[in-house]
Amino acid sequence: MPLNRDVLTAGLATAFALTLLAFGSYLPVGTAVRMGPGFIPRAVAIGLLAVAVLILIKALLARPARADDAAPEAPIHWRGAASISLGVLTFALLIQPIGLLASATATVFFSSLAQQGEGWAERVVLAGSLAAIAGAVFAYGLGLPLPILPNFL
Amino acid sequence: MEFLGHLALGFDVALSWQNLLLCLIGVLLGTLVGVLPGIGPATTIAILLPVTFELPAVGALIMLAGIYYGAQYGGSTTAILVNMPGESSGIITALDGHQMAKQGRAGVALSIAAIGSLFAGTVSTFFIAGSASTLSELGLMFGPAENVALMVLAIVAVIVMGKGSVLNGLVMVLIGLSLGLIGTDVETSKARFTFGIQELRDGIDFIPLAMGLFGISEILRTLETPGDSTILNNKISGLWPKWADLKASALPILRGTGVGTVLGILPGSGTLLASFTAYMVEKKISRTPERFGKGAIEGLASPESANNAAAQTSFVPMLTLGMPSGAVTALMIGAMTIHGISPGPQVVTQRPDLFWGLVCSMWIGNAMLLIINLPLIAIWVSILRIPYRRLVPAIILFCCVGAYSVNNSTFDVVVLFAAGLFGYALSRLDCDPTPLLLSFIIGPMLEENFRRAMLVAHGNPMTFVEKPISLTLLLATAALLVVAVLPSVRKRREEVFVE
Repeated sequence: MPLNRDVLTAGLATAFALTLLAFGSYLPVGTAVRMGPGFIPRAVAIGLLAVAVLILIKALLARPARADDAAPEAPIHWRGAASISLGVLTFALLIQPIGLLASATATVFFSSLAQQGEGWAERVVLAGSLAAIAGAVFAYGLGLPLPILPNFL
Repeated sequence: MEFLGHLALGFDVALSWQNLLLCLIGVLLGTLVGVLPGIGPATTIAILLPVTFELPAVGALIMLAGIYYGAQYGGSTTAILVNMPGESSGIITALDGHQMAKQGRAGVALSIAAIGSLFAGTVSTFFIAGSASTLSELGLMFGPAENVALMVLAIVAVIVMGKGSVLNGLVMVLIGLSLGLIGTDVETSKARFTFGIQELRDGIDFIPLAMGLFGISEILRTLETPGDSTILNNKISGLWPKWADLKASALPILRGTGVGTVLGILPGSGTLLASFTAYMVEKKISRTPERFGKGAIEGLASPESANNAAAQTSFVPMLTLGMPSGAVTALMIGAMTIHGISPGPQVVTQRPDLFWGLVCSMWIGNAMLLIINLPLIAIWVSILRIPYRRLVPAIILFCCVGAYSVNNSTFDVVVLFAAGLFGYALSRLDCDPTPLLLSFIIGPMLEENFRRAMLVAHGNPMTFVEKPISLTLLLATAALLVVAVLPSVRKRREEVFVE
């Protein structure tokens, strides 16, 4: 069976089911009258496994030529996923130690790498100006309690 | 005339200058974000939710309602002008709306959409005012068993009415339930699936989850389409419709309003079903059906009115029963919970100011769309001219700051990252994340009610079919599921999404 969407979806469901079963094994199921914290997790896991089986059966019964008549899909945008992930994680890492202005600049810079077509200077200007706007809007405008500058200053 | 008194109370709340201002800011912000190509109302609300944190509950919900209507209108604007709808019902708007724009009638299309929306909004406001009390009285009779049945119905309805296969929808629901399990069990205070991470003891916060699943994954999805979105070059002129245009769209607006008002109440139906049905009705009764898809004004006026009427009446099950009917209402329920209001039938009696204030501000939001947004069209159009590569970092930054400021926790930013990538993977798998978010939000309530119902019934699961209301709801759920897998209906469903 080719590694198509149905197989991957069934795999995802199975992964969630197994996680629920493995990490929830110590939770007591309880009785029908007084259910323990382990009842619903097990029920959800069984449901996930059942749906995974149904998806696989459906995929096996489907016409094998299905892949051909479907329109070819756009390739995964790895560049976008990587640079946006980098941008978001940078923000998580930097906001508390060095504050909003610096971390926002870094985040905007990294996520601007998601697309081509902009020069380095433009990216830096965009990063700086968006960081300034974010500081003005969120910290002063909305009064959110955000660290603005690095805490060692 | 009890409901006139309710409306008076509502307008009293909604017309206070703060709430009026919040509604205005909401409408403007909503349009600002909603006009961005590929970003729909649910995404807009998820991105803008943190803006409303510091506000009192009534003001926050009024602003969110404003954001919703603004986002919807912004979405229609993008659909009409550049044929890039941000949500599924915008596809119908784009059919004839974008053709009108191509023929140089973009201004007329935009104003007819706003006029139709205002009319539909007016009718459905009265409808909500008339029906809410009755429905919430019904809701007050619900015990845990009935609540369980209602939640099951809501979840199944979202799967059936949504896009994609029913099986994928079920996977999304079950994953949503699993994610909702994370945290401390309410009854036994046992930690579940926290993997030893301190931050997970209170569970995953729904705001970074929603922002990631809708916002970041949408951006990644849009990046896949090559080319920049600065497609808009022609000027918008002739904003005000001619008398003939108004006359041609009067009856379609009326019909669309009727269709939308009724279909919007159905749990899970959302706005797509309403606009699609309205479009089909117009095409069926038209003497010149061949004009549809080539810029027929009826094909725009009716679905836009239906869309708005349904958007408004879809708040009825949420407000009176505490039951979300889609991603937008699920987010509103999450917002209510943040402000310490547990959604349900008691809201109408305990917080009449909030309830009626929200209902009336929906109408005010619609009026603002017509009198403020439409003249500002030049600004919204100029946003469409900003290259997408500059918008992406701005949206990402906004999401990061928003996610962080929920609890001032960097962990929430990590959740945002994970949810974004997960949402992108789901969309590559053709799985719509709406059922996931919905069941994530109502999952804990579902478990609590289920366990309580079993306790009350001494462990007899027959309790769910022995109570008449619960039995009716479960039969309706079963009927929906059977209908959805019938081959003939399945074919029709596919046609809807192909159109």
